Amino acid sequence: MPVLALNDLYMRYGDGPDVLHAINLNLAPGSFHFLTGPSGAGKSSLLKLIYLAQHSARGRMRLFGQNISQCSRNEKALLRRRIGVVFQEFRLLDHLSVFENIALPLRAAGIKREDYEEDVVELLSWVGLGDAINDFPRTLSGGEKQRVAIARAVVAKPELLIADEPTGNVDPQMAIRLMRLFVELNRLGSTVLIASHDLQLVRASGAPVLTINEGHLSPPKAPRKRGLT
Amino acid sequence: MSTNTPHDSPPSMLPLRSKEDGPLFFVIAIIIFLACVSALITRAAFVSAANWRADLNGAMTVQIKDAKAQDLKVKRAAGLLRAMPGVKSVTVFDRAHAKALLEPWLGAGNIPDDLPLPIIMGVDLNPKTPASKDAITLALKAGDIRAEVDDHRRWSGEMNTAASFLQIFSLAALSLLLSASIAVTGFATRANLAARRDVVNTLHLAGAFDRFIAEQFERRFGALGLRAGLMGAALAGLVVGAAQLLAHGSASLLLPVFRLDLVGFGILILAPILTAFLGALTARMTVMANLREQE
Repeated sequence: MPVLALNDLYMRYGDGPDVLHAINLNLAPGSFHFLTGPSGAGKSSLLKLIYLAQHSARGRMRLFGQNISQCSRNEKALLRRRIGVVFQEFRLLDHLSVFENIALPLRAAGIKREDYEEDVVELLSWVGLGDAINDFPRTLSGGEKQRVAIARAVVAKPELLIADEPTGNVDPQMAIRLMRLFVELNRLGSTVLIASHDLQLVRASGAPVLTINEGHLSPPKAPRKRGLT
Repeated sequence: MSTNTPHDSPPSMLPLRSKEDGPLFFVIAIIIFLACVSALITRAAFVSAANWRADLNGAMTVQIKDAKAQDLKVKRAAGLLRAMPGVKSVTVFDRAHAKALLEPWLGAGNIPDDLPLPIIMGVDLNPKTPASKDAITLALKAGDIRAEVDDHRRWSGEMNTAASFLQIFSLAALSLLLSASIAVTGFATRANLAARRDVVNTLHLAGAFDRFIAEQFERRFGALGLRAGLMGAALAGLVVGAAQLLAHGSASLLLPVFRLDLVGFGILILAPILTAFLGALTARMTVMANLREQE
């Protein structure tokens, strides 16, 4: 059973025109895909649809085997807990410390602090922010914020990891380090979908590439050898 | 655990303070101040009304018509009444007392000594088994005493109307103020929700249930309601306490008098708790409704 199955899916914002057209996509469990395309092609819209921030106008969507159109609000919340998202604009909460920002999905899921405290600290060290545990986002650089956003997305060990330009604000060395984190998560069983402009990074990964243009998604190109493993 | 371990209790998902909090705090504090004063007025109105009714219904006035009534006749009438079942006590108001009652209208020293003045007797009735007007009239008649018995029925009716009006007015004012408090909290929650859309969206996408998001606002507005309620109730306590001190010794028979007794303090303690509860409940309902609207 695919983690995600989109069939003939259309999406629009409000009463506007369709921004996604007849999308067909299957993501197998444990797969790793890149999503590329020019600005305004519909990458972010497609990701929003997948992480349930937007509704489809028509078509069918199944996530973790569940028909989304038949899910209640609470069922959708439970599905969202199985997805980790790295937002392009980070979406960190300025009034919460780095630690609290990373722990947010765990708190939202009702997990007790003592059960996640060590994991969060360890993850912070992994993304190179061990000393920034009590800092607040406004004191961090763009790259540091991005690493916090990535740590928050992966902290709950999601079954599906979606990242929108996750390496856009970090130096090449950190970009490779973060990509290794995604690959590691993928090895542990997470399905990964990353939208990126960084063609060098995409090529280096050797992962299959989905291309979207003017709201139309082309089938994935055959995988090449992976260079980040 | 690292030395960098953050503080122990998880902080609120919402910012501790926002710019909307200050004005909202004062608006709620003022409303609760007015509500507390109104509640104390309502209580005073109820107590006064009960006292008026008890005073009027628990007593009768006997007016001995015979202006030349001898002391002996007055004493006999008083004795007759005192011996009646349902009569608690009888007070005889002599001519000097009758003159004193007339002086405000006629002026001191303007009442000639030969002006025929009725002898008035105040009859306090037993509250459980009060003697009836007819029984008193018959008893006096049987004793060959010409007298008019007034059971204050006319006054009692007017007083009851006035008391009911005061009670309804006070309760209406209290209800309006509580409604205003709820409306203000609902409005503020919506404004806060709009201002903290980033938090709500992030929590939403992290898989938080609606009730978890609502709880964040519920706690915030519950705490704000409690703080504002305490401020409003404390102010009301001060004002009412000062009014009580100022009115000491000059209490009016007709106007309701503030009392900061056990019930009064109970009202002042209950007000912030009720405000916190209403604030939390309103915030929760507003957020839940708002989140459902977005779906």
